[in-house]
Amino acid sequence: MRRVRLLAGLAALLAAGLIVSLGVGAVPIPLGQVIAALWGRLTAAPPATAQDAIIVWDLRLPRALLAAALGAGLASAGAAYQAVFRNPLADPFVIGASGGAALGATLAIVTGLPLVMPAAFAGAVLAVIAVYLLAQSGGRPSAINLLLAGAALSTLLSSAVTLLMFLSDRNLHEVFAWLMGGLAGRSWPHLRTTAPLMLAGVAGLWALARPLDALTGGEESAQSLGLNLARARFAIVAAATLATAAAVAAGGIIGFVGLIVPHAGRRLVGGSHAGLIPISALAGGLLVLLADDLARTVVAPVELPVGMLMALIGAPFFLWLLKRG
Amino acid sequence: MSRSPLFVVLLIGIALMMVAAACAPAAAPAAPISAPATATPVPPKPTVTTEPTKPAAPAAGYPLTLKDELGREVKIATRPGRIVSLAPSITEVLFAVGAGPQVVGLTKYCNYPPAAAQGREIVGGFSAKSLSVEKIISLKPDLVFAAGATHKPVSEALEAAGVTVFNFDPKDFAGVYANILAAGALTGNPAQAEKVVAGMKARIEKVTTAAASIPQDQRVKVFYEVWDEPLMTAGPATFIGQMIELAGGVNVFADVKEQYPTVSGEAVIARAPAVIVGPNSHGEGLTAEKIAARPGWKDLAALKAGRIVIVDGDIISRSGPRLADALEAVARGLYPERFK
Amino acid sequence: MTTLEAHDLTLGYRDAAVLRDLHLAVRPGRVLALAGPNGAGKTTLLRALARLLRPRQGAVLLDGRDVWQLSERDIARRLGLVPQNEATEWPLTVEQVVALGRAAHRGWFRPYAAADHAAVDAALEQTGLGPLRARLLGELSGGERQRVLIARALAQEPATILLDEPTAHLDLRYQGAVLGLARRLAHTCGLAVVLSLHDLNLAALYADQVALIADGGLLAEGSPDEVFTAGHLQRAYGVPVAVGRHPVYGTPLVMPAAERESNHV
Repeated sequence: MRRVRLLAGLAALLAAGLIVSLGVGAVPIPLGQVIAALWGRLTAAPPATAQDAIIVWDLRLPRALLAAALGAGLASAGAAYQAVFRNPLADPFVIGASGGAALGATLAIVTGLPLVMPAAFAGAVLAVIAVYLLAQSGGRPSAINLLLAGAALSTLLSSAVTLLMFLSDRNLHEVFAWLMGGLAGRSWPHLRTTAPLMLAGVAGLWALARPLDALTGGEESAQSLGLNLARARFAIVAAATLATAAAVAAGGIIGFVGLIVPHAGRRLVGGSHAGLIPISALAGGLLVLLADDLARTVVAPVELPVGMLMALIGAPFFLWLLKRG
Repeated sequence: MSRSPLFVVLLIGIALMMVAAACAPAAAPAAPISAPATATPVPPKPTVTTEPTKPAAPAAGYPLTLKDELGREVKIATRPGRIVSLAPSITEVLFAVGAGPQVVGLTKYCNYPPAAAQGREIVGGFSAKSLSVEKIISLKPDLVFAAGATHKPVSEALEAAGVTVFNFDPKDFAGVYANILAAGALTGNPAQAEKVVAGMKARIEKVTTAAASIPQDQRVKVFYEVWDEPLMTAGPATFIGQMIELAGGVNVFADVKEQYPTVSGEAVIARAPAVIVGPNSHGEGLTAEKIAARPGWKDLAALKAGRIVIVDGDIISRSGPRLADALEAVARGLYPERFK
Repeated sequence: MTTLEAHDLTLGYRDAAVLRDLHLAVRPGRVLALAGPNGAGKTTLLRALARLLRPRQGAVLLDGRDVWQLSERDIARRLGLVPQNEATEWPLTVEQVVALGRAAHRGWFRPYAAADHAAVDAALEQTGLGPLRARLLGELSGGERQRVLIARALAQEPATILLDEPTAHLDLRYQGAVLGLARRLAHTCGLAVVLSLHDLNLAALYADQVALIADGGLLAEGSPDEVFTAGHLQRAYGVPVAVGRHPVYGTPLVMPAAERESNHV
């Protein structure tokens, strides 16, 4: 089946991308050395204390895996929200996750607590819960209400972040760096705590492929097909938020992946989510991986924030999509 | 929506956050770093021990006209009795040349000399937006010292109100000497200014001569860490960058063009510094345990030899008379046996 | 034996009641047309029957049980809804859309089995969509899209099927095809078919029973001959009508009998 071949192809591409990522950066390491470093560590052969081995194993490998997981989570969440809200401009942050995470992270940074990652995660989850409750109190809980509540709360949260930044002169660099999104200094601890959550979110969304398909025809149509709307919406938002909150906790605000990759995915395999979710996940992972590679090499030894790079890549791509119609 | 208690909770939450931000740990505010967002590429070669290229301050006497760092001609009619300083480095310069009694206003970060703030008004923080133009004007100053381009909005507002503004924005040691002499001339303390400059030059020469005698292959590689998240270092054009070179060290990031760039951990590991230096404002993050916990850092030569040097962040970054202290501290940190 | 019934039904949105104290019974093997002026409540009634709108008073019973006591899946197994218009920008193929109808039986997570594929094939065949099964919804014409939605409802293998204005945006070619299909489903397959139509003549031609909805209630119910009288229609629409005979089928033919020029709307 074409879809299966495409999935396999992308998976292979992602694996290749991972290997390549291990060799690029401020310090170019040839492929042979990369393999040697990995092999050395895996087989506990002569203790790999060479610098290259350290860079490859402690720095680049967890970071590359994290980038891939992050991209997968965000792209899948974006695809799911575009279906639920029947809006091609929906992205994983549309119901407040990014605003909440930014506020959590900024609070942690500004008050000096070493809890930025958990604070960001908690912030994202709490914001989505707030949006969910707000949408219900506004009347019939529906996709439209979620979008509206999300827009309102996001604005509120981002002004709160700006206010905090204004009031607290110091630590601005750290807040900026976090907001611009990046994987600098991320290693195995970050990967261990967040990657399973991201992948769980992706798996959950993949399982929800059929309800997502049904929702693309509209809520009433989906209901008439036998879908319990409240439960479906809850499950989808929960899975997507799990992936998104974990992604934002690990890497800050990295936009465009969740918005653009599903569009590309739909062009490749159509709108059926059984294929769209995994394709988006693989393509998203690949995209963030490549962006992170660029971030580390383009002006080495200086590192660019990945979120900013994504925007630079994403905007022209978006315009091209617009042109194609 | 007014029925929703959730909204009330949100409002309370935001109020709490504002309180939290305002009461954020009140440690002594670190000397503000010039924002890297406005990284101005500066030519990397510092001129240091050469004579100041600006004309020597004219003989004491008013009226006088001097050109400031932004190229503006500033006329002073009489000895200024009410001076406002908009930067901690400028405050230090003013007090060093003996113009302390003439200073009536300074910033909240002006903590040296320690008694500087007593009896004087605080006019704001360091950035332009935190300075109160009204407050400055209310002090009826004869002369205001600003720190160059970053204070442009404030200087322009002050000049529009008829206040005289003089800018200090030195890029190297020669510029600092020139500023000190200019401060002496402007405030009517030229002799004291000359003494300060002479004293600085003597101490700096002592260090540079000793450093010059260190053979190339024995020069230590230094990584200066401004902050850890994001990982920021100082480029060669910054004062600390210049001081590392002057003290006989080698900045592992001497090839970057920016002043305070964010660099990748990989690059630090690959460049294998022998010493890590950092300001005391970042002191908590610069412990051996914390650095070793970073992925891939624990095998760094600097860590293994325990060579982490903390320097006073104020003297390192303020372009004032204590630069000599700073250079001596850096030299001691890099070569503890040579410089006692 | 009725499959779907409305009892004492009062329906409305917000503060206004659109329909009051309505009784209606839907029988299998017959086509029931809901006719009446725009805004009279045909679509409202249909949505209530499909468990999309909660009645203010009264109940809708499916196989004797209140639809609001049943789960969405229970309903979907027995009742299929063909909505008027659906978003078509989403790139799903005809087959994928029709397959969604199987979720009612197979569930939302279990993989489809042979029985499901067979049902999908049957639905495609009944609606003549076999050759189009791999095409994207957005590439089809209005009539084809309508048939896809019907096929999707058929894939649910329901006992009752509701169609909301199935001919609203179709031209002559497809009107007959779609309505003919509806009639065949009732007479040959034994489904209970309810459709709302604003075109009275189509209703007369294709329906076995007509329910004339006007003035907040059921004005008349019965065969097309019984319902489409000048008296009933004048009461419903407020304009004079003339009722003739269809030249081929003899069913009532409704035409306006008012002046051919008017001073105002």
